Amino acid sequence: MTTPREILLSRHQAALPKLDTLRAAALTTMSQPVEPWPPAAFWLLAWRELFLPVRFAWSGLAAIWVLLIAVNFFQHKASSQTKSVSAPMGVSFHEQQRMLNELLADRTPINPDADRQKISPPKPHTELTRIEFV
Amino acid sequence: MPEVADIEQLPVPQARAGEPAAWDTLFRRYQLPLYVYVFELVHDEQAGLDIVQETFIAAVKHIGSLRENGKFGSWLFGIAHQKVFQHWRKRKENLFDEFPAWPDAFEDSPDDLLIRREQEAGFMKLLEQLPLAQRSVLLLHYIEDFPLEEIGRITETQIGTVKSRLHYAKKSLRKLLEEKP
Repeated sequence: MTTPREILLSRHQAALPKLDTLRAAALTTMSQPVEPWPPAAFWLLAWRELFLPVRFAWSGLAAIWVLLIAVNFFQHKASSQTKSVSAPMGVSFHEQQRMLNELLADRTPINPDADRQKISPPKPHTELTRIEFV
Repeated sequence: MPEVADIEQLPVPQARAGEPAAWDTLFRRYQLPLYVYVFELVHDEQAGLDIVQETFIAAVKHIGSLRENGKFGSWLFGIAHQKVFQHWRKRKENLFDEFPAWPDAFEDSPDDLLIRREQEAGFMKLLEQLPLAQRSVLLLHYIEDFPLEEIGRITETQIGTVKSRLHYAKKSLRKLLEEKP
């Protein structure tokens, strides 16, 4: 009786010489100095490894960005239009304010003391009662 | 044949320091289990050898990303698994077919399935018939006796998924062995 591990490993013993060779090859790459990549190779690899596997996701993101830019552009355009519309509104506001000032100026107080009485702070109740007794 | 229990003696710190002799020891220890794992998933000798070599080169290059020295084996198998996944992606095959989750804990050992000598060829044939995701988990369990957490890390799947895949793989393997005495 054998375990699955024993069966699996013994069935591939024949591959050992080839594995020894590739192990040696992998170890020789360790000792080799690393050459800097030419920029074209770097960009090609970046394109192949970063973009191509998830090209649909990148395309989706690009589409969202284009949409956002378009929305932003049209919002900006709309806000500039409302600014130009608000100029006469501002004029009318100033006009209304001027009229209100004129109206207030006409309504000058007849008895200035009456107004002053209203403004004066209320006195404490205790003081008032004392005055009444006196 | 490489032993499973010699992980503590592996010269991982020396390999981190860039000692070629340490790398040679590590590669010698893992070359056959790694090849078995890769070959049983791709069923192509040349592709299997290429993936093992790419795994070795990537391991030397990225040893800095290994957090725990004791996890060197699962880390190496993780690299190989990614390479296999890339290989399958090129061939437009789906490695990650899903199975319903298995609620019970799964704690049996890789040696619980003993196979008679006359059943060996049948076992290998049955292994080939398993879906890739189940086969991958089963191979990691049998070849290196990795814990479920580490199998999950290697295959980048949840532990529950690993449990269910292992359960269904063993169940179908037992069933097939029972059918073919």
